[in-house]
Amino acid sequence: MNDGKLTEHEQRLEKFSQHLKAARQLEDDIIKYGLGAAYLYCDDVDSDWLETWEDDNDEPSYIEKMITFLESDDSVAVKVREKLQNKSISEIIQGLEYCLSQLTENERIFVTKDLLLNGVQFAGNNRGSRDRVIDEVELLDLAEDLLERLTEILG
Amino acid sequence: MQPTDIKKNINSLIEESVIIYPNLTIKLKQIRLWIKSVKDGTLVSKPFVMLFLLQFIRDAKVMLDIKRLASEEEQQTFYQEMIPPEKYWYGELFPQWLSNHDPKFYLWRTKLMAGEFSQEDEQLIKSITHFIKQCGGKTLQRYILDLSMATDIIVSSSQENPLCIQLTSQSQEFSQVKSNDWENTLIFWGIERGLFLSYNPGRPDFIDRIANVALDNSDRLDTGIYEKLNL
Repeated sequence: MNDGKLTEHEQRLEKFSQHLKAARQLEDDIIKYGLGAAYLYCDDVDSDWLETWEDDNDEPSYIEKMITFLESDDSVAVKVREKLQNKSISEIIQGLEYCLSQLTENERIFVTKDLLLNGVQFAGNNRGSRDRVIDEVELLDLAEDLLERLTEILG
Repeated sequence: MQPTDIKKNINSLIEESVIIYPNLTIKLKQIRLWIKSVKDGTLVSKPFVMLFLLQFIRDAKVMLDIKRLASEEEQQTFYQEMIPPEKYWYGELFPQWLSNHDPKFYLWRTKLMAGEFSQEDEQLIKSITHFIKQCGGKTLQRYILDLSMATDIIVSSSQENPLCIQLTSQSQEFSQVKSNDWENTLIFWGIERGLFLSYNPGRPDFIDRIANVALDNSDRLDTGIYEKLNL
C-alpha cells in the first residue's frame, strides 16, 4: 500500500469482508432471535410489502395473465392443457415460471419442451417411465408457440 | 431498512450477475417470480420470507465478490477469510444449488406460502451451536441447507473438515423413511458424507451428547459414509 490508498485487490477484499461479515451477523441474529430477527432488519415486516411487491412494476397481474391465457380457448393453451392434463393450473404456472427464468431463448424452449414432456417433475429422474411414444419435435414446436404466446401476453 | 429495499437489492443483483454469474441470475429471477405470485390473503410467514430473502441477498453478494476475482490466487485470499463450513457453503454447496434445478424448491415454497414452515428445532439448534462454538468448533446454518439439502447444520472441528448434519427427535414418526430420504437428498446434491442424528429429548444431557458426537464425526467420518446414529 502506498500514499494511504488501497490497492484494487485490497478494495475488493475489504468489500468482500464486509459482505461476509453481514452474512455472519444475519446468521447469528437468526440463531439468537429466530423469526424475530426479521424485525431487527426491517421496519415494516408485517405490512403489505409482499402483496404489493409488483405495484410499482411495469408487469402487473403477471400470474393473472398466465391463468387467463391457460384457461382460454386459444389453440396453444388447449394443447398445453391436453399435454399436462393431470396437472393443476398453478402447477403449470410454477413450471412455466422456471422456463421463463432461463436466460437464453434456446434454454427456454428446451426447458419448456421438457415441462410438456414430463409434467412439472420435468427435471426429476422419472424420464424412463413413459409408456407412450412422444413426438419430441411436435413438443418443441408447441414449446416455441407457447413461449411466443407468453411473450405477447406478458409483454 | 424498508421492505421495498429488498426488491431493489434483488433487481440490482440480477443486473450485476447476468454476465459474471448467470446461474445466480436464474435463481434470483425465480425468486422474484415467486414473490410476485403472492396474493392478498395468502397465509404466509412474512418474517420468514423476509429473512430468507435477506439471507439469499447476502450470500449472493459474497458469491459475486468471489466470481469477480480474476485469479485463483486472489480467490484463495478470500477463502482464507472463511471458516471451514463457510468455505464448503460458498465454495461448493451454494454454487451447486445455484446451478441445478432443485426438485424441492417448488414444494417448500408452496409450504411456506401456506404458512406450514415450522422451526421446531430452533431452540435445540441454538443450544447445540452454542456448545459447539464453546468447544472451538465452527458451524453454519442456511435456510436452503435446511429446506433443500436436508441439513440442519454444518459443523467442523479441529480437522477443519465440514460435515452436514440432520437432527431428528426419536419421538418423530417415520424416522426410517426420513433417514432414507435424507441420504438420497445428500447424494443428489453431491454431499459426500453426512450424519443423521436421532436423539432422545428426554435425556438430560442430550444437547452435550449431540454436540460432542457432531464434533467427533466431523473429524473422523470417512467420505462416502452417511452415518445414522441413535443417541
